[in-house]
Amino acid sequence: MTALLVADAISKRFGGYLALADVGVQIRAGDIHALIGPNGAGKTTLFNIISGVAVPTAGRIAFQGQDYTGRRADQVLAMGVARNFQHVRLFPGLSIVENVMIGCHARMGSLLQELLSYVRLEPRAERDARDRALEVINFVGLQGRIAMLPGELTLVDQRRLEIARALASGPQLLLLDEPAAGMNPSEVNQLDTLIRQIRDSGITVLLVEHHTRLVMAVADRVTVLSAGRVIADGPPSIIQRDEAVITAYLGDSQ
Amino acid sequence: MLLQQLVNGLMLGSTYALVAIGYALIFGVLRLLHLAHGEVFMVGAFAGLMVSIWLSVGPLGALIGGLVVAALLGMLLELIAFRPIRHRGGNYLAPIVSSVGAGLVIQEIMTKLFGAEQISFPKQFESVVYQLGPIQVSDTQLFIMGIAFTTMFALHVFVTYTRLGTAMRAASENIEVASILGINVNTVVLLSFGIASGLGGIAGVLVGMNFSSISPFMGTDMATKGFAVMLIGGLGSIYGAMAGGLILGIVEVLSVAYLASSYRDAFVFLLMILILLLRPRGLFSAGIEPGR
Amino acid sequence: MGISSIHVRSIPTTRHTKVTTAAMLGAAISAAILPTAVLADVTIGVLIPTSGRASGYGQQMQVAINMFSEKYLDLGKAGKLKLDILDTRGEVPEAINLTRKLIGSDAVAIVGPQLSAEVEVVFPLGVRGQMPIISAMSAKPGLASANQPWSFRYALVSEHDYAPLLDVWLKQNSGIKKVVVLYDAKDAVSAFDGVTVFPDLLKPRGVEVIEKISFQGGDIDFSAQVTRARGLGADGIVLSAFYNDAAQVAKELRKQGMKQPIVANVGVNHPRFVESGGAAVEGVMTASDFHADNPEPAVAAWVAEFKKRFKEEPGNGAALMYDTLVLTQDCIVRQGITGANVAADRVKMRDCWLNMKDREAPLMGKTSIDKGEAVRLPVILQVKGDKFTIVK
Repeated sequence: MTALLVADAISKRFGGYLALADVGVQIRAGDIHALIGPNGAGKTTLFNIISGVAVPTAGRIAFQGQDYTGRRADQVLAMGVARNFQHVRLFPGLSIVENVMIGCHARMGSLLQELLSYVRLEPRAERDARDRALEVINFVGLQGRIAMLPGELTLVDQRRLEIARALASGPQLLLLDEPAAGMNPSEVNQLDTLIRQIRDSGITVLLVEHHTRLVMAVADRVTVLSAGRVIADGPPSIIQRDEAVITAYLGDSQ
Repeated sequence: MLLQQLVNGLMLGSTYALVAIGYALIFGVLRLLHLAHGEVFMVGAFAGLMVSIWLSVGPLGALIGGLVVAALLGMLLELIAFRPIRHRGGNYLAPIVSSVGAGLVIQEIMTKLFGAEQISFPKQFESVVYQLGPIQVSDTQLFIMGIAFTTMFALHVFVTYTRLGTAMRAASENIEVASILGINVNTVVLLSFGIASGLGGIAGVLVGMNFSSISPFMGTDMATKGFAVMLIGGLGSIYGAMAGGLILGIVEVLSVAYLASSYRDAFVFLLMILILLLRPRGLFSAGIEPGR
Repeated sequence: MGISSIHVRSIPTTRHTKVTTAAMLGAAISAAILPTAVLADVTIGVLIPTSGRASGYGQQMQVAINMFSEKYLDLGKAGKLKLDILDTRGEVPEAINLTRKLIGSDAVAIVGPQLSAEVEVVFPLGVRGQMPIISAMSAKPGLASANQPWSFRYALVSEHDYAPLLDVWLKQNSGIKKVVVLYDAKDAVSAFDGVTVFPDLLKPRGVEVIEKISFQGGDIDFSAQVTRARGLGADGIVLSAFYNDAAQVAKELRKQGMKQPIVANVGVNHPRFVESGGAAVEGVMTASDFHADNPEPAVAAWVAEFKKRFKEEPGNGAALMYDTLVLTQDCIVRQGITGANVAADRVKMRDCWLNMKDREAPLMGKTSIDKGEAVRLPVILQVKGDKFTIVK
């Protein structure tokens, strides 16, 4: 199977601090790929580089064989890489369905094109966006609450909403940044199911997560970062027995 | 008498609201004051007048002329006075200064072109007065209120039900996330300037028609009032601007009717201070997250 | 509105921007080639604002001074009249400096300064320095009467304008018993006229002022004030404001169905009032010192002559200046002022103005002086068709 995303020799320096050193990761299409590591390992930095929010100091990053190093986040999204946010960032004044519809904007044209679509009375894009939004809302299990505001949802449902918004853009790769944070065990189980359903619908998932039990249960492949370097990479069964990983996680595994 | 004064106030207030919505739209996406907005309003009034004279079209033609010219001017201002600073990472507050400069330039140009004196709208806009019970309403007044409320309703439909409108609201809540989610921020900002300025232009033509006289300095007072209205309504809230405009219009008229005109502005600002004391973020605070 | 703080009698008919180089040059040359004293010359100081924000008035006045100089400088046996023309730039400190300078010179009188702000501080200097000072144009109420016996003004103060105006207005519209006053609270002169002068004159004429309603000059909406006025049952309207705002208020009055006759203060005396007021200002009556369209042969000839020299119609300032100079020259002749004894000549000049009674001025007719202020019949103007016309 070919790699959907290839991060090659990525380094990221913040002043004198080397957050990532020569990191290489390959994500295969159709996998749930987990990225784990102790605090400060560089997971979020790598996540931001993949999603286009941050630019690497050195190294290249390619999606479907196409180098996109240095592209803006919205361009990365348009390419087919969507993300959620570790700290939920929804639009509090927009209803749930509107929040999700914003996710369908990835291919918004220029002002002139957009205005012309109104002049030509072609609200098809509008209707499509709404249909797509309702579809992903059903998919993540928020149906029946489309007119509510995000503030009226629980934190868990807000995370689902963010996932729905990311899915609405029709990505091929979905980046999830600690989606299980703050969830109780039964909620984590629901999340486990949701992530599998996403994978089964044909979307590759990159999961950055502290929740080791979830990762080991759901991931097809795991990359372990420690102090800005890749220390292990492989299926969960192998990673669980890896000496270097156990050392890195000593006292930090649960 | 009170009823008549309320009608007067609603009419005045609806033009304030149109101007204030412009501030709110631009403040919404950029968190910045557009201090040449009063001049855009003024240019709209002149454009309406010129169109109606040159093309000898009626009030609707004048409105469309004012709308189009003001919208284009507003978008031009975004392109030359706001965007370059934003893109080059200039000081956050620099566009406020550049917009003041742009406003002065516009005012000077208009003074050179049309002179500093007031210019009259043509006679065709002089009106017929209808007597509705105790209230007298002229067809101009009905037209002004009709247009102002229709425009506000159209804006409401646009921001609520269209993709671009939703994108504008999203950008005004969190422009960074909106950008990450693929909303073309430049498009949204340009659109906001276009709509804001177009509404300002409509307000300019309406004021010109009602008052049947315009001058290059008519924007200055209007700018202050529009800004006050936005504060009353809530920074960046278009519905707040609508409500705030009507409230300001009615309060002004009532204070003239039952107090004295000399105290009118004092009374208006007293009201503003009271509202801000009770509701520091205005009547309808928009989605500005605390700490931003 | 820049003009509002100047308190001048009236507004020139057009905007002045370019310096009238030719006129000023002409004055400079004529001053330079005047023969120096054979006998003792008589000098009069003239203070006008030829530059600065009020230069429009000053430039028109300079033209009037040139016209005066061509006819009146020869005093016969007394020698020549010499005019010492100085530019105050319309600024108070400059007016003070130049007045002090003239008090210390051999001038027997000062004609000027012209702006009320200048006059207000200069009149007391004249009292202290025993120098007769005659302002041609300033009209802010009370300035000359407060600085007797050395201060005089040729322009009519409000009450001297409005008493005859109201008589004509009330006669034309018999049956006016109750009026409402609408005035611009932002402009000091308009406010004073509206709140004090008109009501004080209306009372003895048996007319009640029901209410005085203020508005803000430059505002965009006067509907509330007019609605308030509408409910009061007035049968006449007094309007006190500058021409722009006054025209808008008049339009709003007519729009709201108030058809009562309107009498207005001097601020409306401007072609733009009629232009922008249109049908709404038809019949509005006001008073003025001077009217350039006056068919009176003497006035018409003077206006024609003025227009030959200058690109604009003469405004009030130029006409007032011309008359003031003529009356001052007449005083020199009457009193036998020779310039030989400056202190005695100044007393003679003062007495001449102090006791002026029905003196015939070339443009504005019989003029008297009461407590330093001029008294005469103003021109009563009424909007007819598209312009102001004189009411006989």
